[in-house]
Amino acid sequence: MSIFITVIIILGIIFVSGLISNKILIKMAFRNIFRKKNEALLMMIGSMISMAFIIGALGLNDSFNNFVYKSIENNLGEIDYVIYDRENGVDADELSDMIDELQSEDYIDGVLPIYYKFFPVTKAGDSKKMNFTNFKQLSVVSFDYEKAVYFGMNKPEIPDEIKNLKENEVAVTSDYSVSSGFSVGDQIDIIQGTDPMSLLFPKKYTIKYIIDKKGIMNYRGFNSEGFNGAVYLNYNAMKKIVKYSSENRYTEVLISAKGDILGGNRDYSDKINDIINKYSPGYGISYAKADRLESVSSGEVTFVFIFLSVFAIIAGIVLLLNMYDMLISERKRELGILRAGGFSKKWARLTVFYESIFYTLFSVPFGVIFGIILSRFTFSRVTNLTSGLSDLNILSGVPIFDKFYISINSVLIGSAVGIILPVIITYFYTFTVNRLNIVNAIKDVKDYRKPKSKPVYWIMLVLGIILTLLPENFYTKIFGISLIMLFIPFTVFFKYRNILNRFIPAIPMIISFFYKSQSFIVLGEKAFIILFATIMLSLYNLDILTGAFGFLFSKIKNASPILKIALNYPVRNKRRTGMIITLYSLVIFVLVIMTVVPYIQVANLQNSKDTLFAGFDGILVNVPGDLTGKKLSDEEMKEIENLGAYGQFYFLTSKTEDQEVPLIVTSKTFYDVNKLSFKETIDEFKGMSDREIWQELYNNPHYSVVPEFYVKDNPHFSVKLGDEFDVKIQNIVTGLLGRRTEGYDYKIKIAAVISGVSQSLALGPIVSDKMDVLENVKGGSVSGYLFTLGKPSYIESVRSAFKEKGQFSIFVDDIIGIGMRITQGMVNIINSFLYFGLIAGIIGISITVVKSVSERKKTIGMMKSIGYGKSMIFMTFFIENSISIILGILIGITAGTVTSYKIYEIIRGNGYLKFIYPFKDIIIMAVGIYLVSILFTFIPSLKASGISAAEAMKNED
Amino acid sequence: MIITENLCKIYKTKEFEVSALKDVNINIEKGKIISILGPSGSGKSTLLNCLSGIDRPTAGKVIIDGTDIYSMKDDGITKFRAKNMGFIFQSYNLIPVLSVIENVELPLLVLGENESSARKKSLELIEKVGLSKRAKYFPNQLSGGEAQRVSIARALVASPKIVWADEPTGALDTKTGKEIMSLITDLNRENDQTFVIVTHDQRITAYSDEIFEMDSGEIIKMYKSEKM
Ligand SMILES: Nc1ncnc2c1ncn2[C@@H]1O[C@H](COP(=O)(O)OP(=O)(O)O)[C@@H](O)[C@H]1O
Ligand SMILES: [Mg+2]
Repeated sequence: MSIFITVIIILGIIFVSGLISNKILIKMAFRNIFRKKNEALLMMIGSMISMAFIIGALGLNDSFNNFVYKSIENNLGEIDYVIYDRENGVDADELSDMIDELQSEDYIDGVLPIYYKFFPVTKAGDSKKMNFTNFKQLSVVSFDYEKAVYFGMNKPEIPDEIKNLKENEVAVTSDYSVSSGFSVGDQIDIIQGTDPMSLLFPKKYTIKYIIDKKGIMNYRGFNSEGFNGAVYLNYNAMKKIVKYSSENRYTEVLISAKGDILGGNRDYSDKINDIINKYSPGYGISYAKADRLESVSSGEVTFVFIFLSVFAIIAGIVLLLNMYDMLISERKRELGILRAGGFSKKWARLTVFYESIFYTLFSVPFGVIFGIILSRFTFSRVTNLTSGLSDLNILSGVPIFDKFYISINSVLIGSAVGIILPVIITYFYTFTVNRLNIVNAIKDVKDYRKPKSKPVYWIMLVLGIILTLLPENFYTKIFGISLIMLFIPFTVFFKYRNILNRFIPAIPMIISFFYKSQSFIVLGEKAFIILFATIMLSLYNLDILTGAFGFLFSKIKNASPILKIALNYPVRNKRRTGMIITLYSLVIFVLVIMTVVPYIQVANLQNSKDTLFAGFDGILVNVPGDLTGKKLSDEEMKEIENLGAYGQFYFLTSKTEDQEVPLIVTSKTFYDVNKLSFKETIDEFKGMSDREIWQELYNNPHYSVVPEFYVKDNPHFSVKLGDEFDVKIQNIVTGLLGRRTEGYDYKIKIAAVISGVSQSLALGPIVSDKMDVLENVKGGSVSGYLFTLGKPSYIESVRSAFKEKGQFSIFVDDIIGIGMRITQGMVNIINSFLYFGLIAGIIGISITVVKSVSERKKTIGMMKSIGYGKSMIFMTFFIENSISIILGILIGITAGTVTSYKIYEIIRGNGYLKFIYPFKDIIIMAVGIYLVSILFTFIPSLKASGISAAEAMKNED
Repeated sequence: MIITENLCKIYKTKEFEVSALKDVNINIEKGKIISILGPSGSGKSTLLNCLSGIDRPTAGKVIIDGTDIYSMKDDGITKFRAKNMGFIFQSYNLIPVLSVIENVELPLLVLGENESSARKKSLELIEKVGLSKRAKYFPNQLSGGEAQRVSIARALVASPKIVWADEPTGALDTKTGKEIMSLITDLNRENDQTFVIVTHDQRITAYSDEIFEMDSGEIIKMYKSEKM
């Protein structure tokens, strides 16, 4: 980071010293700025937008990382490693050698054995009254509070109230006290067992303290950060509750490593890992922080953020490149004149150099401010969405995004890119201008050089081959292949480059398309390869594409002379056309992905209304031993008003010799009411109606019906229609002697396949409840009711009726509603960021048109003199700009659609998901963007059509 | 054929007014090469622009073949110009993205001629100016003399009655300048077209039939030349 700051300072010094020594240069630079005020303004707006875009993207990332780091910090604090055995506990004596070595090497600065267990907790008295609604599953924690103060580098503060807890006193975390409305002095019940005694006579505790701390005083056990809260108990009281086999056994042993892993200091990690591996204790080991960082950074949300920022940064850079490229080509002639007038090369270069520095310096402060506002705004919408969702209470674990945060580094990097990039571009291009023949520069003609193969091209080719052959990941390989493809036409097959180039970019594109991978990182790489290959492909075939446009416009008045100009400018100015196309396609590309992918999810969700719960409106699920909701009896179900049909189901686990087979056993109602349709059935059922088949399936409990994905490309279990196999149905019995598993043999035949069932209901065969072994196993299985509503509007009354009976009901409409809210919310947020990106495209094209008009003043004058009317000149610009914009949009749509398909393949997995394309949305978006953009080109185009023919006669301007 | 009546042009800027043309009365006969000679700033270009209809005079009339051109609207003048006039510029003003042949055929396309006959006519003219081998070249691959020949071909391709040239040799060396002028004389002889050439170079007048000398916006001398 300090490199950036140094570079900025050095540049500043060069600039200021230049200011003082070269008054003439400054004057020239200023003159250029004020002579063409509009252009200068556009340059500044453009620089500002690109900078805002880059900083905005970095700010979003910062906020997201900040949230992740903060939540990890909150939950884990100084805890870096967790050694655990939840069943039998960790024997601290067995670890002592390992810990001794870690301590003697001075790699760690804290070891803390702790106890914890999950118990239902509620307000005192609730359990006796069987009032289950207020029950919450909490993590009950305890450790030696006196010892704990030495844990880690920033020694945790442990309040005396906690150290002095009596056996019937507790401290609770503030999130629990807030959500349940408890304060100090209130009493709670902790239900410490599943037997009736524990429920009827729970232990009562008084809240002595409410904790609002990080790290070990906020620890709820490994992997349970989403829980409702934690209760801290007296150490001795806890020992009596957990009852491990020996005094020295603990639920977990926490270790704090030296150095701050989150802060990037992993100096000790490898050494500690080595030692842990050496001793390899027979317990579970979690590299807590590292694991959690890993799990966050490989998630979808991170991917979206990274993808967006990469996109934004590229868009910003392309815009900058585009603008400064045009600035230089415009100044070329002036540079030639300066040189002819005796300016040295260096001086000539410096004038343009200073001009661009002026632009960037003007735009830096605004760019920074605008970028921060942009990312802040976008992020606040993310925050609103996630907190709105977590209010729904149905989804646990919705991350509530925290405050907006942007690091100084991001601001510096953003500004540095905004300053350095233009400076590099101008510096580089002015060199090429200096090489230019002075006469040609003055005459404003390009130097003509015969194209030839350069050594650089060969080097790039060799580099490509090396990268391809390296046994590395997809990224280096595809990068290598792309290099080979790019440079082969300019080296080995130099003669045929023009033909080869026309199709060569398709190769990396095809490779990316067919390369199979489930990784989001590879997906992102593929996405950009597909996009840039499409751009290259279009640029190399630009003549053909513009030819198609020519055909499109061939019926307009005076088509021939208009098209001659309008089609040839983009083809002959490939670099400029390429940049506009890139800007547009980048934005559209991401917009299309962000439209199509959520659309697929939402559309599938809506289509799944009839299949999600097989046509039932809702579901009740009960887990055995879970006291928060005892299963309702048939009589209790009958008491619920406004309910339509209902039927029981049971989830059973069964096994073949080597495979798990999840079974779902359903009652007659399921067979009568479901709205599922058959994909295929065994021959026996041929000629029967669907309802008859369902009856047959119900009457024969060995016949099962399976969802389509179960027999199609099932990676775990290859079965097909008509197959018969034996399974052992598992039943876990908890008795006085501990847990034991029983097995019952059962024969299953796949008699029918249903289409369109999502994985939410059935993961395997569905069997009728006439099955004889059900009686033996149903007590220990997860079970519940599927039900329909008397009328759709009864949803809320039924929900509250269930709630009164302590039941938590889930409705199809809830799931669809939440799904829609999440996807729509996310899409809106991302799109608002992207539509801002569109400004980059619009600025890009506006600058291009403004510059083209001033560049082509004489040409336009000449065209006027040979008879081009006002409207004809306007049309040439109109068509020329339309070509770049439309091509950009089309490329973006193509690449975006292809990439969406790749994303769809990943999210589909082996499940059932249709690729549904939002044609209407995409067309509206494309037309809208085209119209807005072309409107912005109208002002300069009109100005161009007003240029007088006398302009062409002028010898100097 | 070209007659002016008290042609006046006053340029008004915020700070001052410039009288670029003061009551210019001239009569140019058909098929002649006319030189307008004078020092820089004397109003030659202004006169040419007013005569050719690309810059409206402040007062006075320009009558070409009996048509008072400034009685027409701008679009009318544009059409009239496309049909009757060709232009040769000091800085060639070729369109950089079009090849030589495409540059030359442009005026024909504007007049609505179909592409194949436009191409045929252009090739003939390119041959006439001696650039057959360069037909597929682009402007940046041409020398100054070649570029000016292309611009001459372009000016003549639609067989205009009048060709205007503002300092056609201004950007060329003496030898190439001479070649261009003799090309113009040859073409003039062949097609009986009227050429009006603006120059500050005394030597150019040697190629013309008649010379108008200008100073401070006024014609100060009109005389026939002894053609070489
Ligand atoms: N657009 C204009 N605005 C103001 N003054 C002009 C303009 N064009 C020409 N002039 C002035 O009119 C006079 C004649 O110019 P011009 O016809 O270009 O002269 P020449 O072609 O003989 O060098 C000059 O004094 C010039 O400064
Ligand atoms: Mg002049």
